[in-house]
Amino acid sequence: MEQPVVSDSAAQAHTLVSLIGHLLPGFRQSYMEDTELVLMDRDLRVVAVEPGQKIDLGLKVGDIPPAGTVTEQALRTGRVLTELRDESAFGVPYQSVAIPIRQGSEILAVLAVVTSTRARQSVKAAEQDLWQHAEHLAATAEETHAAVSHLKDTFQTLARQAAVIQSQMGSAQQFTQTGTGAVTALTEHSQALGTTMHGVRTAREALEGQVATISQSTSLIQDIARQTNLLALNAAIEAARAGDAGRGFAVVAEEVKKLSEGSRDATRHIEETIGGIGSRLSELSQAVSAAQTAQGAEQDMSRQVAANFGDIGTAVREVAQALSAIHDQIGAATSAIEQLSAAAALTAEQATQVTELATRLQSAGNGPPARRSASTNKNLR
Amino acid sequence: MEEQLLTVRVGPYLFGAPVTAVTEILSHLSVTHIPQTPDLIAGVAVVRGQPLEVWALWAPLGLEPRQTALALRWESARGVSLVAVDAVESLWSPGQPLARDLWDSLVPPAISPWVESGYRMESEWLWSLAADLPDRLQSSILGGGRLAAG
Repeated sequence: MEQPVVSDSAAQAHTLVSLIGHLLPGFRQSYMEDTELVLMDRDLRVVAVEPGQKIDLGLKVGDIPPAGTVTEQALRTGRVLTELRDESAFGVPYQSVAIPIRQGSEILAVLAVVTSTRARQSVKAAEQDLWQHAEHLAATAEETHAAVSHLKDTFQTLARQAAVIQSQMGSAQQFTQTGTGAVTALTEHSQALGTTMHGVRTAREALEGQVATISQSTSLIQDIARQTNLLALNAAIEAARAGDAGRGFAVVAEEVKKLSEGSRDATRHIEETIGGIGSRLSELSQAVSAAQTAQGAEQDMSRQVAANFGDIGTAVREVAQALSAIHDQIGAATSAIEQLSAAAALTAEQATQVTELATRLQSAGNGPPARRSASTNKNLR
Repeated sequence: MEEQLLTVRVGPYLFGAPVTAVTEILSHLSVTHIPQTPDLIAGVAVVRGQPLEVWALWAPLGLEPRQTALALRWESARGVSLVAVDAVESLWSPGQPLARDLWDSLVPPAISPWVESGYRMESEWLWSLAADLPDRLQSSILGGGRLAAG
C-alpha cells in the first residue's frame, strides 16, 4: 500500500487510522466469538468494517452510526466503554466495546468491537432451561423416590400382614379340623347312644312281655287259690257235717284255707307290684321315646354342624390359597418396587449430576444461580 | 252237731247257709236258662250227671240277674238243688241269735219269709237262711202265684 507523506497531524492521523483499518481482519481472527469490528474516525465516520460470520450491523465505510452510541461516548470521554444493546438498533442484540485509539493525548479513532449476544442468550436460555429441567427432574425423582419408598413400605407392611393372616388361617384350619373331629366324635357318640336306646327299648319290650307272663301266672295262682279256698270250704263243710268225727279234718281244712288265703294275699301283692312295674315301664317307655326323639334331633344337628364345619374348612382352605397367591403377588410387587426404587435412585443421581452440570455451566457463564444447589438430592442415595 | 253257718254274699247282703243243709260249694257251673220260668229260677245245671235246678235270690233282693259263678249244693226234704251266690267267705259258728223284732224291719221284705235268724257279724248284719230254703222257694212260686216270666 502506498504510504502518503503527510505533514500535518490530521494527515498523519488519517494515515494511521487507515493503517489500523487494514489490520481489522487480523484483529477479528483473535476473537473466538462471532465479532464485527468497526473503526471510526474522530468524526464518527466509518473508516473500516470487518463483519463477523453472522453478525453484521450493516455499516459501510463512510456511514455515520446513529447518535448516542457507546462509540460516541468513548470518543468524547476517551475511555473504553461497553454497552449491551438489544436488537432495536441494528436488528440483532449485541455487546459493543468502544476502544479509543490515541496518539499522545489526542484520540485518533474509536474501534468498536461488536459481539452478537444472540448465541450467548440462546446458550443462557438453554442453560436456564437445562437447569430448570434438571431441577424439575431432580424434584420429580425425589418425589418418585419418596412415593416408591412409601409404596415399598406399604407393600412390606402388607406382606407382613398377609404373613400374619396366613399364620392365623393356619390356626383356623387347625381349629376347623379339631371342630370337625369333635363333631364326628359327637355324631359317633350319638349313634352309639341311639344303639343303646334301641337296646333299652328292646329290653323294655322284653320286660313288658315277661311282666305279662308273670301277670298270667299270677291270675292262674289266684284261680288256684280260689279253687283251693273252695276246696277247703267244702272240706270244712264235710267236716262240720261229720260232727266229732270230722274235727281233725276240719283243722286240715282250716289250714288249707289259710294257705289259700295266703296265696291270695301274695298274688294280690304281686299284682300290685306288677302294676307298679307297669307304671314304671310306661314312664320308661315315654322317657325312652323322648330320649330317642332328642337323640334324633341331636344327630340331625350333629350332621348339620359337621356340614357347616366342612363348609368352613373349604372356605378357610380357599382363603389360605388366595392369601398365598396374594403373598406371592406382594412378593413380586415388592421386587418390582425395589427395582423401581433403584431406578428412581439412579434417576435422582443422574438428575443431580445434570443439575450440577447445569450449575457449573451457568457458573462458567454468569456466575452461580441464586437458586437451589445440586446437593439437594444427596438424600436420595 | 254244733250249728255252723257258711257265710256267703249275694250282692251287698251277707247270708248264712246252714252246713246241715249245704253239702258242697260248686264253681264253674254251666247253667242253662229256661225260658218262661220265674226270676227265682236261674236255670238248670248238670252236676256229675244229675240235672239240678238253680235258685237265685237276685230278683227278690232287687239286683240285676247275672251269670251264675258259684252255687251251693243244698239238700232239703224235696231233694237236692242249687242256690246261686256271688261269693263264699267262710264257716262261722254263730252265737245266740238276736231277737227277730230287732232286725225284721231291716230285711228286704221279699226274702223275709226265708230268713231264719239274724246276727251281727263284726259291723254287718248276717241273716241265716232257712235250712229248707229250696222248699220255701218252691212254695212261694207255687203258692204265692209269683210265676213271673224270666
